[in-house]
Amino acid sequence: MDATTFAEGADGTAETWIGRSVARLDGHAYTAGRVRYTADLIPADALHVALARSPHAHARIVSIDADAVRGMPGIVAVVDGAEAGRLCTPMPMALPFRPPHADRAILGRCLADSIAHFAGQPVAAVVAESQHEAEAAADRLAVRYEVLRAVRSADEALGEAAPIVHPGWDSNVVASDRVTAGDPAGAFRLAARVVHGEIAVRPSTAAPIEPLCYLGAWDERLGRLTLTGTLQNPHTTRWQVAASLGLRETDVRVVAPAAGGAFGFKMAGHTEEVLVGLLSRRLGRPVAYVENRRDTMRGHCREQTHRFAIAGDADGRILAFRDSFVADVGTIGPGNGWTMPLITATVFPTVYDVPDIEVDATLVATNKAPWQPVRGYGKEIANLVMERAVDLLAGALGLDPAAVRARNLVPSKALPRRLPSGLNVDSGDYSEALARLRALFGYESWRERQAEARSRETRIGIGIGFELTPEGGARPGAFPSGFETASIRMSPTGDVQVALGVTSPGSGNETGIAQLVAGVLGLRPEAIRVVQGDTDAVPVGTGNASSRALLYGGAAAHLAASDLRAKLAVCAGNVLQARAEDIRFAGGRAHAPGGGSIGLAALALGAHTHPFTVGDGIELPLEATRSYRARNVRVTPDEAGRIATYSSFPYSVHAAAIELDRGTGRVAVLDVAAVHDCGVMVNPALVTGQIRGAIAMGIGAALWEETTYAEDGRLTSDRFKTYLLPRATDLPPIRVGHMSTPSPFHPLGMKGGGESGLGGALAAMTNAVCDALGPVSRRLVTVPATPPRLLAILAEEA
Amino acid sequence: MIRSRYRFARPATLEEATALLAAEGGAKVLGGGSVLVPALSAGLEDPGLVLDSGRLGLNRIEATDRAVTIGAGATYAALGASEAVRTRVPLLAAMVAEVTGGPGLWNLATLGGAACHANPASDAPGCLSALDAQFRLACATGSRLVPAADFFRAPFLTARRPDEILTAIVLPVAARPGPSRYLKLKHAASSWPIVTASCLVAGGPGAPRLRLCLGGAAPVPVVAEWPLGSLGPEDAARLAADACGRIETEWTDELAGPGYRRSVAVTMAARALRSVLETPR
Repeated sequence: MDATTFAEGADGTAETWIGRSVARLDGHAYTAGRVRYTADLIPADALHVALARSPHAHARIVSIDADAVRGMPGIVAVVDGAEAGRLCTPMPMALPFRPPHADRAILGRCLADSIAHFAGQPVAAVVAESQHEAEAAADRLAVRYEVLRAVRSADEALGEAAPIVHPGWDSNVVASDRVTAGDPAGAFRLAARVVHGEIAVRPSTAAPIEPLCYLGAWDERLGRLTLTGTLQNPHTTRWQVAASLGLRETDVRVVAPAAGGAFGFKMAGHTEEVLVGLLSRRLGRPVAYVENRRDTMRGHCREQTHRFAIAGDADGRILAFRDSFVADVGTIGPGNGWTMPLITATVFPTVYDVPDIEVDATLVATNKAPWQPVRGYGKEIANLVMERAVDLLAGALGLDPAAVRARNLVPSKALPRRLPSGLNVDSGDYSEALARLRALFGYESWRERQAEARSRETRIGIGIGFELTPEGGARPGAFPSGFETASIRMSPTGDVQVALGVTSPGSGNETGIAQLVAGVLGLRPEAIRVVQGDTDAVPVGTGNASSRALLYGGAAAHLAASDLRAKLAVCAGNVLQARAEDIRFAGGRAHAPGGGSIGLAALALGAHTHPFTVGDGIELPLEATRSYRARNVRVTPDEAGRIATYSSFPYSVHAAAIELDRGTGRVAVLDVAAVHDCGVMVNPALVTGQIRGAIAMGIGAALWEETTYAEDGRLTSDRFKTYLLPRATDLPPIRVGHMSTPSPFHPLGMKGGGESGLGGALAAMTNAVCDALGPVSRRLVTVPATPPRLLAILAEEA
Repeated sequence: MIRSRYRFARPATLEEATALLAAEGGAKVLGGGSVLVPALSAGLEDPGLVLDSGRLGLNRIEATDRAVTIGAGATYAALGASEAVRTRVPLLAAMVAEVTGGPGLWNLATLGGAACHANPASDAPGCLSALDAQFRLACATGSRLVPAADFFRAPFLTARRPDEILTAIVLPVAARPGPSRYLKLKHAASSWPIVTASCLVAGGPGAPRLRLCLGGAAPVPVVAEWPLGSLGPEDAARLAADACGRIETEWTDELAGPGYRRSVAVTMAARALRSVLETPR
């Protein structure tokens, strides 16, 4: 990838910065260590809170004896669930249940009151002068429990006489959905070939390098709370925290500083967000919570078991697909994580033209921590299942898996087209992407190498994985939902600032936003100051979720910048004696057709200081606020009763080559390539970085990453030695090719670019492992394909 | 976050160090800190005294005709840069070359610390057992040499008494080292070693012996030895089975449950044996 740094046309009149790999405006601050993360902002006089957590998956809290702890050095307060219950109300859900379940209670309390519902649930908070002292005391807090029967698995949760996980509910079913099209039963009956399969995805987690961190600072004089933290959705958090603490929403300021990775994990709904505010208000000092690694690793998700069938004719044409799956979503807290399997169900049959399908989803509660959102947001699992099904069909028919895919892809001219779930896929050219991938990856030469390399000890496996990734979520009832807003200001000296309700998880989206604004105003990206992550300073917005920073926020910034340009054009026309519509903006100046021009700084000063002449005909000041509301979202149910809650549909196709050590079950990744299409790319280097990161996560999810528990429900994968992330040396160079099929529904042709790659890599890698296993691969049900699992399958073969 | 208060001492002489250890029952000796400091941070250790051995001058690597002596404080970086290790103890050099973690770890972590930690799923115990290492332990009243077979007593337990400190690891070496091979199986780069296989030809030219040590497979290293005689690559599978027959209790942990290590130990043993036996002699 050639990154053109601040490149501009030779004449200095670049019309647009879209499509140019501008170097990250904040890149040097990050790499030089000048960025300040939340934990860097904890003031010296702050108190620290540590949490005593339940070691049991389900237990009655008999007593908490804090007497011994209160005498320890530095201890300021010990707060239990009963006291917290008097000081705040439960945190509301970010996305409430729908009728008839709207009133079901969730675990919204920041400290468990009388019953702990999962191992790791906070039961008491210890506040001390230092984090050392707080943690030491929390370790020593004497909590007596009466262990209760816990629901440990989805099967158990659905069994007869299972305990009900959430008090007051009448079952452990959290939600369900059924997506159908055509006549799957008839198609399966008549099909030449039907193949059944199963995939059990074990839980995994986002594992951001920066754990959660919150700082609550109550200002008694103003009666205001400032919450600074690892927060992807500042406005959602503002509402949830204000509601829980009984404050007016505007009496809470939420600040999200630079983040060390988020990946969904830092979306709103962690009860510690309320806790630091509650404690600060009670104790009159700032209170900080810095999560340790062990607690970060508790944030599991993705645990889904799919049983599916695919029907085809002898030529490999897919006729029907059926999938029934159960997701173990743990307990339900205020966050959105539990909704991810509902998205899984909406993605089928992904990029394929399958007339008859049926997908059943059941979300089940168990005594585990609430799911935390993760990149992929359930879509990655749908793609994994679909791609395994296609490979199993190809295998059963003795056909090349790439050829079977080519035969079944939805043709470009058939788009836009509605999925059975109601989502309306915008545009794409899947066949072209597959063709380009074959060339980029060298599919034929890899197949030749595979045939030559067959040895007793190792086998090469090759896998392909397509991925369709709905992006730009706009779910009715979510807070906020399908719009984003940008406020642009030009100061009297011509400084441009754009404030948005979208945030950056450290991915560089502010650079893309600056490019969009700069292009409109004829400025350079580094001239644009992008303000994010402060509810006192930016318009209401969703923050960071579903690839919306550029897709929504960028579009809003583009609109706001266009409004500002219109004002500037009037002013320039006044000065240059030209018609406003003839003014062009380039090189930091406004140009009239006759050759006259004026610098934007002079123009801004003129407008503010000479409002009756230079500023004549415009509404001052030089500011504009615009919202972009997503198109391609449909809230009116279609004939099947479905709505459309995603606005854009990027896709990618991946190929992987692995080497399986048949003596140990170890997998070495030899080669990875992907072709990706997210429509118009604002900054290709940033898009490439995003997809490479997502591919690395997909490979990790396929091979190594797994959240594990002991028999008693205690987390065992609690550090990076037991939860194995891919390291650089585990991965080959990831080769990425881009296509650009603009979205017809977006003003700039964009589709989301923040999540693509995870599901495709996960699928390609799993298919590659199965390819290396050969016929016995049908036994590979569990993901990730760890060496012990693979060796057990190889042993069965022998 | 380190939760408990403890005394910290960084003595300048071995006499001071051993006197402190003799006086303090629950002391922890700090080598490079790559194991102890994270354990303290996780609240897994609660020592009364942490004794930093960094100023005791224990980081020298010395070679004589018959032995290479590695100071207990020698880091992996020092071992990797050592000409004596490279030419005289190639098995150890191969092991060191496979230690992951990057410069941040190599410049801190010590072989002596790893030996004293005696984690079954680590490089040092198996490799040092294969090399027939001897461990020099000092206390206030003197010092003693303990052979590897007696040093690694159980998981995370060595023959070192609480009042003793490891000062050096003595590796007997031949004038010209025989062929050797170090193989390590890990799930991925961030995984700890699951099974290691150290294989070498040792003993005098008159009676060369083939020695194999499996690390990680059992609670303590499993050593097997055979007269080299006319053994060839075709014997590797048989010898591997013989060696693995000596694994009584299989070591298991979070990354490898029951059955896995026992299965892969045979594979790793056979590969290491075959590699050494294929070397022309």
